[in-house]
Amino acid sequence: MNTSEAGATRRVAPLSEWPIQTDLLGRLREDIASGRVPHAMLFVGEASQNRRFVNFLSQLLLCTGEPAPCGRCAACAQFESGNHPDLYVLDREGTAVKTGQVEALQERLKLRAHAGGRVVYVVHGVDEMTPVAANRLLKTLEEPWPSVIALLTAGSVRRVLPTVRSRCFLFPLPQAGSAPWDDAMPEERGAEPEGDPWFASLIEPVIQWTEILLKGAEPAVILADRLVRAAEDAEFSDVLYVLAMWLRDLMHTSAGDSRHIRFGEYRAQLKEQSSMTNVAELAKAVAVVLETRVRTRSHVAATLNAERMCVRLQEVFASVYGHRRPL
Amino acid sequence: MKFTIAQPALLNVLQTASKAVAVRTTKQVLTGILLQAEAGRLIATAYDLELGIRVEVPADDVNMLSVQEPGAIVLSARYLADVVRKLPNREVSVGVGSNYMTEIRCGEVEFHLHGIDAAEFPLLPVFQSSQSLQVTSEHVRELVRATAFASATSEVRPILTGVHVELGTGRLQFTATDGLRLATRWIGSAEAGESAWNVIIPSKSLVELAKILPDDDVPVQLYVSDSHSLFVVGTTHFYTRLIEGTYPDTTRIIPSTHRTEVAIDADLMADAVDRAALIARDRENHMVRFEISGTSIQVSSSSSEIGNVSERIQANRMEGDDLSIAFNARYVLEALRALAADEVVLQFNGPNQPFTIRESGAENGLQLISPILWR
Repeated sequence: MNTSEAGATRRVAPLSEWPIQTDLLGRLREDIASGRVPHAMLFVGEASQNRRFVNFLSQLLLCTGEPAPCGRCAACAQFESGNHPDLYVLDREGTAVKTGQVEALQERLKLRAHAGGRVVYVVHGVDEMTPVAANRLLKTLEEPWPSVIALLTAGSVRRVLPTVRSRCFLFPLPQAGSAPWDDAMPEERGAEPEGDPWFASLIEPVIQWTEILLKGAEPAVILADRLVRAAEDAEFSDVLYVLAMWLRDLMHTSAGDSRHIRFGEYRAQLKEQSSMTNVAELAKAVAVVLETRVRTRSHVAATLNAERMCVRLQEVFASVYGHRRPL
Repeated sequence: MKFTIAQPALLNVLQTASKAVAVRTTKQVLTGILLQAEAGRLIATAYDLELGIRVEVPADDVNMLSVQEPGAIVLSARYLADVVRKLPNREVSVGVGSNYMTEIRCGEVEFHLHGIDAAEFPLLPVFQSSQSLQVTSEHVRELVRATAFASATSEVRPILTGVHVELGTGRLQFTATDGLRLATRWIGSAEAGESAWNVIIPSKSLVELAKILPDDDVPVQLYVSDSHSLFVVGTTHFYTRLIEGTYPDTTRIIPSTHRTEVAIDADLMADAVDRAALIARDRENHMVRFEISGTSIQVSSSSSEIGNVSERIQANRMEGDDLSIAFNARYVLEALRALAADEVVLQFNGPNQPFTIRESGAENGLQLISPILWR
């Protein structure tokens, strides 16, 4: 295992803005900031988590602005359009990444970086590769050029070829829902599909709704109606689950804890909304939402249930509204 | 962006650039051609991340180029070239509307193609003039033809899939080897005295370059940077990525002495080896034997399954020890083809050492081939 000594020190986004935070990733962040980037990293976790994190890290490593990833430089623009010339992503074709894909990658990796900086390659599912393909990859891992960085992902570290594993820095990624403060996923959901988690389409309406709630500009009946409508395609209990998660993120932000944030990508909103209230009120609000969610299982009309919740939430946030108390 | 141009001129530009369009890629923008219209010129660029071609068309009376609105767009190479090919031989107008929708109009014909934001196209590097060299297209073609074929085709040692291009000690030298044979060729260069550099360029890219060089002898400007090399021929810019790493020192494996030297007619030898190779099978490394005794050379090959062949040819001149040696016929034939001389000189150092083939009376390079060891 090697680390690149060539890189210069640079400003890197704080850990709170990373999509996943662990102590080990905190140390990785420090290493990257001081220019010591490991040549090969293996991320072990569930597929969607791996994908989300590796995507973030590739952009961070290729970004030429500050703090990385800046989202504004040319490299970030190329990354976001899927056209960065020095990023190679090998995804499974059929059941796993094939030998032919690895060979095509190696043909590219022999070339100097297009932009003269780093070359990043991602190989998804190294635990599912055939031994032939994994061994072929080994050659590239064994003799890395200083500018080339490998990001590998796996579902299970035990199934990764030991020779591949031994050449990588290992980063276990926590399962979504495994942190002590987190609930289990709604039972009826089963396994998450790859890519976006199921709540991706819900979070933004929920954030907007919370803002309206905190501003206290609308009466409870209309608020309730908005929430039910926001979730036309989704189960109401899922909307409540996402709402509870969002309120809890606000609570953590309010308490100054940036490590256990689920929706770190909405930093601006987290900051703004958490500044309008306080930890105690948010804790009460989470309890109200979760109680409402339990009530969805009994035979209570959804609208009625939502209205009742809105009235109670407005009671909780009474101090936030001050004299502007809604009807 | 908006410009008008004569259809044959546009087609010509697209056909040249399209040789560098990526075929198998997940990056959609690379399957397109970047069109940039600037005051008085149109530039078409394609880049598959290994090979880049940028063709510039200055406005003149023949191409009738007129740029009304400068701008840039990336259009799918496949559709764009097909569309332009099938347009009538008249003035073509190209304009980009909202959402990168591009209108191509020619007479009564009107195509609309979805484009991609030009900002997504990877920028080809701008070269400083410090490391540059002027040669001729004839020289480049000659250097590539005499060496590129000898580079490795497997990726076991990626560095060997390239051609080592060196400037220094008064010459520009191309060297390629796959570990079993080596080809090197050089030309004298007055500019070589001033600076020295060396880079490794992918053979495949050089072979492509040799194909698009114009047939007449024109000046070629060669530039190198840390990541790319650039060959400029007229208004066509030809970029190749460089291979990472340090090329092995090949000077040590080229023998400086010899025990046997044979001068022979190149066609006579090539024909004899070619015939013997009919019996020399792939599985047996195309093994052909030379038994040199004075100026007489017995060329033979045998296979337990097919049969055998033998032929006696006469060398023009022979000095040193008699010798029996076996070699891969394919390597020798390719080397003879690369030399393109009437008479070649072979130098041997016994049956177990690599031998060289040079053009008779010319000091411009050599072909080195490892023999096959056999009892």
